[in-house]
Amino acid sequence: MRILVIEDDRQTAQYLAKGLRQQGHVVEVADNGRDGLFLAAGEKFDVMVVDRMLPGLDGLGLVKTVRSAGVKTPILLLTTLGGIDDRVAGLEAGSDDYLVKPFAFAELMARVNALARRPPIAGADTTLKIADLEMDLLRRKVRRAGADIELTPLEFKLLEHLMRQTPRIVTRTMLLEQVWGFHFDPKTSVVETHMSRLRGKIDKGFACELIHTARGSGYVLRMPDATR
Amino acid sequence: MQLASSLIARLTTLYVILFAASVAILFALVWFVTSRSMTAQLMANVQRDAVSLADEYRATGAAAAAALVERRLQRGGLAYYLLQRRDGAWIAGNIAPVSPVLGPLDLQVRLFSRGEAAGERTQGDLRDAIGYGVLLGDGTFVLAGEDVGRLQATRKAILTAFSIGGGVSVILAILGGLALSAGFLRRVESVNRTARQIMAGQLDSRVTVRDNGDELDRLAANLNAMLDRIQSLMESLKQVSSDIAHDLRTPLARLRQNLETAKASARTVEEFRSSTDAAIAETDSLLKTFSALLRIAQIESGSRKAGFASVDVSELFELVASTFAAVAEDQGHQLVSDIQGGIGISGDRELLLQLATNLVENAIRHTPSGTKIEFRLHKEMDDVITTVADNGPGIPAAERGKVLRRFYRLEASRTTPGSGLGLALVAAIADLHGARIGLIDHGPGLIVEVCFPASARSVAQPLKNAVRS
Repeated sequence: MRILVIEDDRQTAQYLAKGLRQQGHVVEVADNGRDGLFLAAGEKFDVMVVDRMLPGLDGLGLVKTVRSAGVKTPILLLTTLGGIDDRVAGLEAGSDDYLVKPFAFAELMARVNALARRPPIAGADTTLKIADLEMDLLRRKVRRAGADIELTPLEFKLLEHLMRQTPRIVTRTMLLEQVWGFHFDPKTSVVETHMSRLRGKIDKGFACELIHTARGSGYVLRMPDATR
Repeated sequence: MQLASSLIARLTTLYVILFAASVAILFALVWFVTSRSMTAQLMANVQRDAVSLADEYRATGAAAAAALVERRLQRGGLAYYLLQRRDGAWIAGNIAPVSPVLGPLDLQVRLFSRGEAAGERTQGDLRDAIGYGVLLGDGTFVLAGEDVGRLQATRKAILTAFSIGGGVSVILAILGGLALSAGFLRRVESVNRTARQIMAGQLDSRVTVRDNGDELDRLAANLNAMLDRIQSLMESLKQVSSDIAHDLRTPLARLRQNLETAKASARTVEEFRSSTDAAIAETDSLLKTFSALLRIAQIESGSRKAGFASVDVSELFELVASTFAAVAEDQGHQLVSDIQGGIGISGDRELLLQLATNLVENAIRHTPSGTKIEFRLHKEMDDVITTVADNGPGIPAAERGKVLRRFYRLEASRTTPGSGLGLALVAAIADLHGARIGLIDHGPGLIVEVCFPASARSVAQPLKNAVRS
């Protein structure tokens, strides 16, 4: 992937660039809004990672300008701790996702991956299928190897999210935000609890496991033979 | 002070100009009206005199008319008469012959007399007069006049009166202007003094309010209200920073120990990794504490209120109930929920979600296994009430008031992980929504009740209806 990182703090920029390159991506770095805008408008990138606070041109302004110029590249906005109103402002400006600093690199990677390969919204897609697991979105039914599986509405939503993201890793925070709408950290093991119940219904008693734990970063639903 | 004195000068000058202008206009009016009416009266007099003299001449002849003139002159006063023949020869009167002019005329005359002994002579100064001339059939000219000295004296008196009056007015205007603007500026200065005191560090200083309800008073009251708000925000900020200083020392010390251990005594990569993992975990928990603190501060600042919208709390709390029923069960608790449907309030969706989550999580985390937790949402009259009740150990009555404070932790829960900010956050969110929190003894256990009174939600009703319809 070609990734544009617009970040004025050199240490953070290097940390991001190094980590992304290790994952095999091509990374361009701009350390101010103006250069960032120039690169974003002129070249083709798969994802842009933009810091909210930038010298020259503020991150929000940059996102707005880029969007009004017709650039549709997915944008992940980075912001500092605690700005609870910032998320809405960021999404309204036209960014696609939002991550609060400081963050674990695995979290950033998972979000960049989710953004880059976000599938086009397919209108006719009423069933999702991975290996022998089938989900009927209209009838709200799940079957594995021909057997019906009863899920609670929350479990259904969780599984749907995993299936749509396959084979990408989905982090705990992403699930909290996207399945529950929790933009804060619960102090109990909300995700783990529901995930373990879901696994009990989806994987238990079947030949192979579909839901896997990605150590230290989250969960992934994928075919058993697709190694990594 | 420069500005203040210039303001006094400006106000006073304005006063003086206003007073002087009104005196001048009044003066002009009096002058004009008096002159006109006096002149008209004089004119009427001389005309009557001249006409009656002419009538006498026609009726009885020159000698009788001359005698009448003499009689009239005997009466005294500043009257002028002249009776002259066609050829300009003097017959009678006290002025010298003139070339005849008919009707009203302005004159400048000297007294004139003609005697057997003294002959013709004029005496005295030239005097202003008005007169009226009549020409008779035989060419005789009759003139009656009157001195305008009285008119001039009256005018002079008016001028003098108005000069004195005007002078007094200007002095009064200056004094009045000074007094009024000084009074105004004293009150402005009192605001300034308060501002200076606050800048000098006397933060509880306030502007004096006179309770007379005028504009300046309302300004003072508003300034005071603003200062109160700023002070309470500042105090909460101060509280936050001292809380941070006290309560973050322990986790920071632990972080340091982890890093030291990694550096000094880790012999294998595995040991090194476990120490750094512990350090990262400690950092994450510190960051969470910071995040919670900032969140509380932001909620307390009230800025979130701008984003209030109609929120379906029934749906929101159903989500919380279904999410945590499983979590509670896994930890050996029982979560029972009773959520009344279709309840909407005006608020912040995300914060209301967090409020319910924190309350339910608190009940799960701080009670022993086997505890039954009841989570309810219902409408009572028009108040929306949510309660989380447990039959766990509860909170001693003496400590119930303190648990809503930041970083306050009960002795029993010192060992459970957590920052002691959960209930403080709940309190801040409730406060933002105008809701009251009650901690009630459940005997045994604790009931936390959050009541959103109808009055605090009054704005929400039309909004909610609009959304529903």
